[in-house]
Amino acid sequence: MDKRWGQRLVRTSTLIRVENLTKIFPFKGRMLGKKKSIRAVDNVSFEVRKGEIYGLAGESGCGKSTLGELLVNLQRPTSGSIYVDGQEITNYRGRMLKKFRRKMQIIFQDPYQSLDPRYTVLGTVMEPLNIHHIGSLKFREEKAIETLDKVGLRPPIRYLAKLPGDLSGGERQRLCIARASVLDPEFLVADEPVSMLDVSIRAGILELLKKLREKEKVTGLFISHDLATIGYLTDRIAIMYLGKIVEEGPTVEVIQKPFHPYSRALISAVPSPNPDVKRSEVKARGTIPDPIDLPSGCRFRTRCEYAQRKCSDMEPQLENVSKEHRVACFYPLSS
Amino acid sequence: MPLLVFRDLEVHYRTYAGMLRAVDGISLDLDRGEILGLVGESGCGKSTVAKSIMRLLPSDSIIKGTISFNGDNLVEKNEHEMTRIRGKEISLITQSAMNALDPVQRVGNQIVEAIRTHRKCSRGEARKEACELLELVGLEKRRFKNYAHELSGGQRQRVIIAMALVSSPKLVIADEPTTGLDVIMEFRILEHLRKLQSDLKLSILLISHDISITAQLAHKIAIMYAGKIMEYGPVSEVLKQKAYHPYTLGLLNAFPDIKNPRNELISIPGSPCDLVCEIKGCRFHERCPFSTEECFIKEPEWLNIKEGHYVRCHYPDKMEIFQKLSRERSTWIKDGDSD
Amino acid sequence: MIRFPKIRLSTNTKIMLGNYKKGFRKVTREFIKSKLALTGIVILSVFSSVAVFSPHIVPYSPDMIHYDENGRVLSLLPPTKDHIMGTTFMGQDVFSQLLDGARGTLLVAFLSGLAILLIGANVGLIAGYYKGAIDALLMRVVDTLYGIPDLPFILIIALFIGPSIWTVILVVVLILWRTMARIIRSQTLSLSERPFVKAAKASGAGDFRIIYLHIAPNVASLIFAQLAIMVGFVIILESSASFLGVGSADIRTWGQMLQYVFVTGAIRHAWWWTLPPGACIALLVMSVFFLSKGIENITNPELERR
Repeated sequence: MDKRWGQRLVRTSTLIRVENLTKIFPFKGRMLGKKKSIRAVDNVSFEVRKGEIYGLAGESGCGKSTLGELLVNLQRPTSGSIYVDGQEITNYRGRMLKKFRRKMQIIFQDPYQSLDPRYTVLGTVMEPLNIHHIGSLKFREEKAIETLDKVGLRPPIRYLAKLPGDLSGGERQRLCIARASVLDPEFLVADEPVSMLDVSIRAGILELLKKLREKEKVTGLFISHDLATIGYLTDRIAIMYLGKIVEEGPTVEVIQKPFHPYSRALISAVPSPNPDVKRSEVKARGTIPDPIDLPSGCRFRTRCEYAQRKCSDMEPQLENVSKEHRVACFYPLSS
Repeated sequence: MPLLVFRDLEVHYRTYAGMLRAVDGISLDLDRGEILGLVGESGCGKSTVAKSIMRLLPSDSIIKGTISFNGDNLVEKNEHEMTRIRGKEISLITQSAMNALDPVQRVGNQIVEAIRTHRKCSRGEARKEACELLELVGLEKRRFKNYAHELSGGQRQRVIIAMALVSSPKLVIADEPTTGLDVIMEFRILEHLRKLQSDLKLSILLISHDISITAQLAHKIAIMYAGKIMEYGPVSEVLKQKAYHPYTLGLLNAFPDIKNPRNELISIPGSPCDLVCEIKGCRFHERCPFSTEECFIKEPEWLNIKEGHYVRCHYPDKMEIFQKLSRERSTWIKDGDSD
Repeated sequence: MIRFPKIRLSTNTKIMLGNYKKGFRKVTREFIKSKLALTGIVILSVFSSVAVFSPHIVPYSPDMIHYDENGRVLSLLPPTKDHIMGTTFMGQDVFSQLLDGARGTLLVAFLSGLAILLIGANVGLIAGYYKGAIDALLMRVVDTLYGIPDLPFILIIALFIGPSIWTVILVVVLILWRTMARIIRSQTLSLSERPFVKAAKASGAGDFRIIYLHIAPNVASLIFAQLAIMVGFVIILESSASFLGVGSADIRTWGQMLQYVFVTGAIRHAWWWTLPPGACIALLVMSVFFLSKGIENITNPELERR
């Protein structure tokens, strides 16, 4: 069993490697005399392989959105490194950063707020091309129209002059995806891309993301609190709790046989549209602790029914329970 | 006799673009001690149904038809009579109700105030009852003296549920009660609602866009689309691919199931229709893969196909073919369409 | 004949122009429907044209002194056929002076407005976007200026650099840009948190592009509504300053006319000399306020489109 993460099995198919990434937000004001802070992302290490869709799951406040923004350099980490195709991009600034932006893109949860209400559909999709001075004007227009067609806004001509206010929710999100993919990125972070859409159109957007992976070879990071959607779309999944990854592995395996007590609680809480499925008790006492005042040792121990003395003394690290499956727990559940 | 009966309920809003038919003729029953789930996507009119029961519609709206509660027609009641019913016999829990808590009053006192509004009792008695209610919804007694901002979203929502139960209502309307809450919190609240319902013999009208939570909680389900009910029946039938209406079948395809995560998801092409324009035929015909000429011209009737199971479609007899075909992607997505 | 070179417009530009034309037509329609905005703009247009064309439409030169048959100065004449608004103490035609005064008043209004726009809006945008240290510094400046009372400040500055129309413009701009900056800053603060700014950053957009091509257009309607109000204040300030004698000494403005009435003691009974400039000041300020309210009403529903 390969226990040491430090043994860098650098797979040549790795696109993104994250090492000990940490983001701390200072907390304004003091609590009990000590200056407190929020460890939004705490010493996180993982890899995303080329061509896969990697899922980040967790409840609100677990740090998944912050992690997504760190990966596309919308926020600077407090410490740690991010490697893209072997190159460390954490300290990129200025022109290097701008060039790197072409490779990594992001789409957000609220399609309407993600669009400038005064920019037309054509203007929105062309803007990244204008920023990076790609090709001639004619080329940019053609590329923009081609991208609109690729994301399913057909026929593109009909959409060019429209404003975000004229589009439906699904169309707006497709426009955001078009904007993100017009630069032919290698990596796309999708932060809750379907949570605000009606269920009957979510599948369309998810299919689009799948198509981008198959046809355009785009690697994806899918962030969501909805485990059912993540279960559908992703190849591997990481479950986050209060800034740390507590479990990581192939999606179907993690969902059907979780090893971490929190993963099991989370998965068992997800309702199924099948009324015959009676959910068993969700084994997680209480609520998520205040991120300012984290429990010592394992963060989940205050809610875990298997917690022992060791859990409050030391913090468990991610260890392999099988070749592809890692868990951060001293007493992982057995099947 | 059912507790709540809708018969040909219509609610229209006057807008600058024309008359918006938010609710266009629905008929449903809710029996005592039963949970009815009203499911639909955004804009289908389900929130309007909730508001129309409580008669909390804007002044420029028109309401027609019957909402019979315990034999009384609520549509015909005036404001004075409605205030006696609202909050007492019928309670409403809305989506962001947790933000409706007074931020400068302790939550326990807010429950006490609600109690004393409804009947004469001393402060001491009301306090005792408030603590009991808090326990009933799964909060510790010490939460009485907390302020709203000291509680999490889920805890606040449970306070709202406690307040809704203050008057021992006969009917609770829960409009998207768990949207925006984390999944573990949602599970707890649904479990509490279920327990409350069985302990107190409550009747609940659960309004949601989420079929999964409706499947877990409700006994009967009604699928709403563009102001009309498309299908209505027991959850055990409608939600197990034994549905009759193509829209229901389409919705079932679109919901991921954590128990079978890799099941193919198929979306319904197109978008909900404009509620303002007058539509002759079936509301769903534009997006329905099985629609025919008749669907375009004539509106389908409300058919009682089985005991307690109704559907609004021209072809209920073709149910088996529909069920089989609806599971295939090619039925819904024609080549060249935006998928 | 000037031949313009054929400019090939990109499709996007053509679309934007088309959208602007549509938007312009819609705004014009709304304007005509909104009696407030319409009144405002009509009065403003009248005044502006007068200001521009005044040298050509004055019946007499404003400084010309008029005499009667006997060679006596026609001082303080009530309205007659020849002088429809009568004459001043010095025998000058009031109507001609009024038309001439429009130039000065509107010049102050326009120039000050421009300066307030350029300085205030930019400071607001930059402070609101960058936040942190830059914001703190700029807001300290604004806050200190806030403490200064308007009119006394004009008095003091005029003492040092002499009363002139440029003094007035300088002071007025110094005082009023702070309000504009504050308002723009708060709007920028909220807009810069919106995902579309993050999305632009993720696409590689630099700060300049984000501030001027994304945020500024979305606060533009607010800027112009606010600007209109500011211009109203400018006019009042200028008139007050001129009335007190610390305003424009060289270029004639309506406020300056009022100062002469007062100083010559004719203010009590020469209503034909007092009323026109006073009424014009009031009318101009009113028209500007109407216009601003009209703009607000028209642009607000547009912002709520979802």
